[in-house]
Amino acid sequence: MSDSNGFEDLVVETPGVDFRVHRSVFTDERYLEREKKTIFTNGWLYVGHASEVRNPGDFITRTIVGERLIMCRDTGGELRVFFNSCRHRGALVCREPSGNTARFRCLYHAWTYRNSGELVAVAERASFPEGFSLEDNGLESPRFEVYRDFVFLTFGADASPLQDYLAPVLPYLDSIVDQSLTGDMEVLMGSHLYRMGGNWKLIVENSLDGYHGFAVHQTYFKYLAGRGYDLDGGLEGVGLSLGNGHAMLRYKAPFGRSVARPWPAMSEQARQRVETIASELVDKHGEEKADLITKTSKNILIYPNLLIIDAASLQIRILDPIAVDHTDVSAWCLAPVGEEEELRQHRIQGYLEFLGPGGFATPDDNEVIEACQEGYGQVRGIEWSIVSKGMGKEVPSMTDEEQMRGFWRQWQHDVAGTNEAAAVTGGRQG
Amino acid sequence: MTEMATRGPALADLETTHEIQALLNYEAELLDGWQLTEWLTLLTEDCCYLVPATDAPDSESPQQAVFIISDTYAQICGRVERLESAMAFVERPRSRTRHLITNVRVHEPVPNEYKVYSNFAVYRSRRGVSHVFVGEYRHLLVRSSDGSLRISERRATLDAEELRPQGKVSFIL
Ligand code: FES
Ligand SMILES: [Fe+2]
Repeated sequence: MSDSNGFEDLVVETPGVDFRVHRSVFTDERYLEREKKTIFTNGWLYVGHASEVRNPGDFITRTIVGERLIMCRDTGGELRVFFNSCRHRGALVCREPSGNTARFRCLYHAWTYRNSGELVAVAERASFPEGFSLEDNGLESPRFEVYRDFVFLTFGADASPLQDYLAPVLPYLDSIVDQSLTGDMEVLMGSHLYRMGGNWKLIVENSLDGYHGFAVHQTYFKYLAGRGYDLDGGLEGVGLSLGNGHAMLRYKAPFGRSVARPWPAMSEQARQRVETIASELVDKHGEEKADLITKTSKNILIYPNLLIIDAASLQIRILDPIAVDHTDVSAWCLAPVGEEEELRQHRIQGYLEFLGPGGFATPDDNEVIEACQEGYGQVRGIEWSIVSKGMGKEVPSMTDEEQMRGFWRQWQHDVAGTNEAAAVTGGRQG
Repeated sequence: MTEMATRGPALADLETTHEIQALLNYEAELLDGWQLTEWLTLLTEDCCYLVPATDAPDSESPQQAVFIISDTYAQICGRVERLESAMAFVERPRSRTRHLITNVRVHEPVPNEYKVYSNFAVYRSRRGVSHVFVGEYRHLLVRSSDGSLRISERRATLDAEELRPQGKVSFIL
């Protein structure tokens, strides 16, 4: 092909027959560079949850694909996202992970900005040339949009509106937020900020992989059985490629859930509360939607790097590619505002038993991811990974790989786009 | 740390301090030797094991905030059982760890109950990489009826602001 840019044919599909991914996509720096210029520039990337900056003046700082950002609520109550960099010569204007402030004062020469971004004080201002004005030199914002307290940004100019981008996954995102009868959810204190020695896409695959549980997480399920869970029904459900790269597992599982399925250790009172919430949700949303909110477990990928794991607990997880073979994972527990103490306690317990750097399951996933990364080496040996499980089936199950294929098709489309800036937005595929 | 202001100097007697130091060293030896079942015998049956989140190191309430680890005794036992199994892949092959403990401060808020602070550096080597976990322990110790000291709470607060690059706390910290 005359217009080949070297980014085609990394994901190869023969419909119904074969689906393979070239392993260099996990090992070759060039592809990470390409991803940064396409997917991570033009896609919508999760920044944080509005509950993290609930009060005027609240701020958090966060690094997203190498960019330092501030998310804050200004004194007037409006949510803001800024590049955390001084307009003068670039120092961070905020060096705390979180806090509350009316102003961001750069440490270098003390330029001072309101928490709404305006530059309000410049030392020795008269020494700057005539054309220099405070108004033109406020903190810069990336383009950002908020959907039901989920804050996303894009570094590209051409992205379609957030809601269009999210459209295929919106009913599922809604089903997360609607765990709260008022739609008011909050991120709990205490973040899991850790690292895995593997390419970010390996973690995407693993988070959507319903095939590995029996092999990798035996010790977790054995532990649950020992704690009185009835695991006979097992996990059952489907893997879905939703479109725009979004994908999910949708299944029934034996985990306890604070919105639907009591834990064995729950008090009678808490059980009743769970039942009450479930019936209130039916009243509000109808049987079908309520079932999706309460009894259905979901591992959701919001393309490219946001995962919402609604299983034994509820987790928001983002993947930040810091190198071709290392990924920073940041994760938070999400819960309805005002949740009863015992339900909250179980939500956290369910979270920690499975998830995070000290959980009974996530560390084994970490091992899997590193084993894959190490197995690839420099791809001088086996070149292709097989991702064909469930191809040709009318309804691929959660232990198939259709949901991963949905991710990979979008990934291939985006990195192969001839125009870097338009790769993500220039027509999506399902 | 608000708690810090109220700690004051540690004033337990020499003999007790010595006994407690020996206990901490023994615990470290069991952990580094992966003698986890033996280690369990040092704990009371209402013991909890806490590792706060790196961005909320002062959190005292595992019911309301997310920790990295907040095990009840039943969960500690589950954790040990899991780690003893060949199927806990992240620890097969096992990490080689070395718990170094120093600056032991023994407080005795009520007779025969001890609140013990110490500094730790735990080195973990596995699959060609070594990481160090640095922080402070807080052990609550009680003297049981047979006269021996047992651990009724074990808290390991990490100094690192993020668990990068360490990645995971898959052994007993
Ligand atoms: S770099 Fe911020 S004031 Fe100079
Ligand atoms: Fe897993």
